Amino acid sequence: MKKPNLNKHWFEMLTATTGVFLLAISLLTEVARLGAATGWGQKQRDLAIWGGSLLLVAGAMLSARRLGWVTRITASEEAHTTASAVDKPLYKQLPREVIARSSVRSVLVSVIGTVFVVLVVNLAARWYLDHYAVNPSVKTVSQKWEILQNMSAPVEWLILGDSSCNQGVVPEKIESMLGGTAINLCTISPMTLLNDALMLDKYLDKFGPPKNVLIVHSYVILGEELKPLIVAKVPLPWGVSDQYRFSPELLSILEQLEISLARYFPLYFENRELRSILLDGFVSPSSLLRSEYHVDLTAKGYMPMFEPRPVDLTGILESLQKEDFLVTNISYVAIEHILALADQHGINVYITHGPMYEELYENRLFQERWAKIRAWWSDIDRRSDQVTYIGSVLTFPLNQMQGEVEHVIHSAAEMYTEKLALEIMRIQHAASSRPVRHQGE
Amino acid sequence: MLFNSSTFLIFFVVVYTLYLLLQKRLKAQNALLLVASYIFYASWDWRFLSLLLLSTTVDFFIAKAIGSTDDLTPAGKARRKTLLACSILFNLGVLGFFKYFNFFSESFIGLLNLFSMKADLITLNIVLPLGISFYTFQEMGYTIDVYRKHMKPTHNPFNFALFVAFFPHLVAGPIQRAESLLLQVERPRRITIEQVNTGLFLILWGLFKKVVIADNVREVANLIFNNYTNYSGLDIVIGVLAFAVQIYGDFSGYSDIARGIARLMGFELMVNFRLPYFALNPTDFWQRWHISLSTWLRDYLYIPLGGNRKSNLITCRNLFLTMLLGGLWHGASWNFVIWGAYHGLIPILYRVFEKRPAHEDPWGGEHSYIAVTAKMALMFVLTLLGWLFFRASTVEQIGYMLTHISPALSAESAQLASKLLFFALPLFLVEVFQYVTRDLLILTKLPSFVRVFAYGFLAVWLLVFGTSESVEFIYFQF
Repeated sequence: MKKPNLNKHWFEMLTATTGVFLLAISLLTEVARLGAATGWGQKQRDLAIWGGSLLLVAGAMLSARRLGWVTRITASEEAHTTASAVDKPLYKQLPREVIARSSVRSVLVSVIGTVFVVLVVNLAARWYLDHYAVNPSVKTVSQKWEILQNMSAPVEWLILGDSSCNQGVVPEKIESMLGGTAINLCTISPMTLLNDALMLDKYLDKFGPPKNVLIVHSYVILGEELKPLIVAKVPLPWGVSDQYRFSPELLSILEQLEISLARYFPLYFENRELRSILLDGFVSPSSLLRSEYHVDLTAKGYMPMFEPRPVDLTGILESLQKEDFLVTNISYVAIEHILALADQHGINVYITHGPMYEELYENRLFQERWAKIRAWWSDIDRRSDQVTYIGSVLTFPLNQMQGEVEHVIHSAAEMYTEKLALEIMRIQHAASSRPVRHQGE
Repeated sequence: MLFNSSTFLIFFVVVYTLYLLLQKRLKAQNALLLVASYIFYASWDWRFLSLLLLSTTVDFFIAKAIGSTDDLTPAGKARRKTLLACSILFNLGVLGFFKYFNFFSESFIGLLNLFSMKADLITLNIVLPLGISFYTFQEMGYTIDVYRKHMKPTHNPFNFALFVAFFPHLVAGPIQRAESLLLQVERPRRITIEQVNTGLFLILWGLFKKVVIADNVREVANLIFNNYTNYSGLDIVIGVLAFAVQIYGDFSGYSDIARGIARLMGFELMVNFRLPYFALNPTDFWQRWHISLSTWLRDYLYIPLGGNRKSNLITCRNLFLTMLLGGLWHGASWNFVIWGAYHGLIPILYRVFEKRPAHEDPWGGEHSYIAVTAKMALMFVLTLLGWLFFRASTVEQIGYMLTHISPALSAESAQLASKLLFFALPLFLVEVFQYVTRDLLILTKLPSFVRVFAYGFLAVWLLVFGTSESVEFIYFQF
């Protein structure tokens, strides 16, 4: 076969090179933060990326035609299909299915090659989602786990829980009022109580038993189901090594497999997120390379929020009306695990509820649900001397809320933490003044 | 059991494995395919399996009787005609009862009311058996072919049953001719590596068109058509464009998957679509769109009516009637009647305004690309107008949408258009490539590394944009 002379391809080369050049400039303005130097805004970058991509594709297609990859059917191929129509102009001919000779090798190349491309894109998607996650809640999970993994010294107060705790409990306040060091490792409620159990497990592996564990949760936590996609955000090599395998009573092999798939196959399991990223990227390609997202946390893991946001109770009241009080299996399993660890290692565990929107708390429907929730936690309290349930709740008006019924702004978080610390002090004082019972008494 | 569901994947893997194990044992393979096809059909609604069996039995015996009657005597000729009439009446009767009873009943009452006559409305709660329009037409084609002596009737009822019920094409076509498929059922088949290669490509490309393009663009079309009073201006155009992409992706996707699956088993089903939106005129469009139906209507309706052999007026009548019935074939609803009438009228208008006969290029020079593009664009706009009639639920909706089209944009326009463009662009690029090369299988001939990237792209998009629930194919309702 005659080798194509690339010197004759100057037009295609020029088109493709211009495309590459435009793409490179727009990428540099985004990635290397050269926006100010070039004076390009987002619109200009989007235009450059689109223009560059189109030129690149056009150059590649023209080159492909010149290189002979795109050819019209030859007369001999035509003879194998239907009566020859090669001499007719293109628009007068109906396209046909021309079946070319193939081999087992070429079919295998197609199949294996396709699988390979899917796997490579899958890895790229994993990397992209880890670095450019668009869901801040999900990012919180990995960031809190990174804090736990990077901790160099044990703490006196290990604070676990969900988002009501993440932006509601100020560890510095705990330290100043209760003494010792504290860290807030609270994540989000879809992580369920399992997150507390897993974190306690990991903490024990790393530093041995903590003195005190403070668990703060939203009222919905008991009804949360295990969500493999969210749990997969925990930055541990799920299902890969025995060293990291969690207690079988916490997660079955099947659940671990599901979490592994969710972690390692984002093309399928996180396709909703990828879909919205790609659709947004189609309109504004430069948005694909937005700055790396970080949840703003203090050094001790607390997420202060300052801007009040309104709360809508409609959906919550509807679900209170429709859905009965439910404790999911994962909640049972996780709390059993925490109780066992607390008893085994003599850890003081304080369980309480996050700050709450006053209008919800005063609602009759909610009060009915609240009574059941309190009763359930009180039962847990009775099962272990190490566990103390703090059933009191602190409510806040709308101007202190932050979009959700258990999310508060920083000033309210400080007030909430202070009251919580005082309550713990009261409990500790009561415990220490209680006469010590000796065996046999 | 939709092609785009995991249930079908398991079903097909099991059937295909057994099929391969039975290589070179034709009878056993056919028996397996027949049982599998009936299971496939029963998985939708087992009650209608009896209707399929009844219809198969009736047509098998009628065709056999026609074949065994000589037409040398007037009595023989009359008997053959009577038998054919029985078959057609039976098939149209079944179709009419299940598909059109309520429509005609309601329309009749409406007509009586126009003349101030009172009548009680009789409607039945009839469920449309899946694929009935496809398999009854296929069976009718067979008996007519036997009557015309284009082929001899088969003497094996199981082979005939498989020809009717072969699962890849049972519920939404392509409508096969007995001359082709029945022959393939009866003769030993060989699976070539070329069939595997192109079959796999057809399945991948078909799934892409259905799951990625049609099912996602459907959201745009549904949003506008289902809430049409909230939209006006260019949004209506976007909605119609979205439906044009959806119905093409959906139906051609189904046909490609069906053909790909059949090809993996050594069967060849007819090509059902040849880049229809590149058509230059109505005749060209119907040579490219739902080819198995349009050729059926041509061979068994248009030509028997006289085709274009008589006067211009008769030809126009034949064209109109054929397309009107083609529209009605899609369903018992006035919008399908309007759609059919519309597609009957445009070829007539083309005949009136074309200065030269249809087979010559009316636009002059062969290199008049602008003229050809303009012609293509005009035909596309006419097709879009037809889709508006097709998709609208009521005549009022058609009126509203037609009278509210304008160049005005809304706050949603950019978002709707970008979503439509995002999903339609890959289809457009591939089809331009197919059009330029005149080869529908051009992607299978790309150099290995380019092909692997192209297939990889399709597979990745399938994973990312595949909707979580399997959405039914549009043509299942016909």
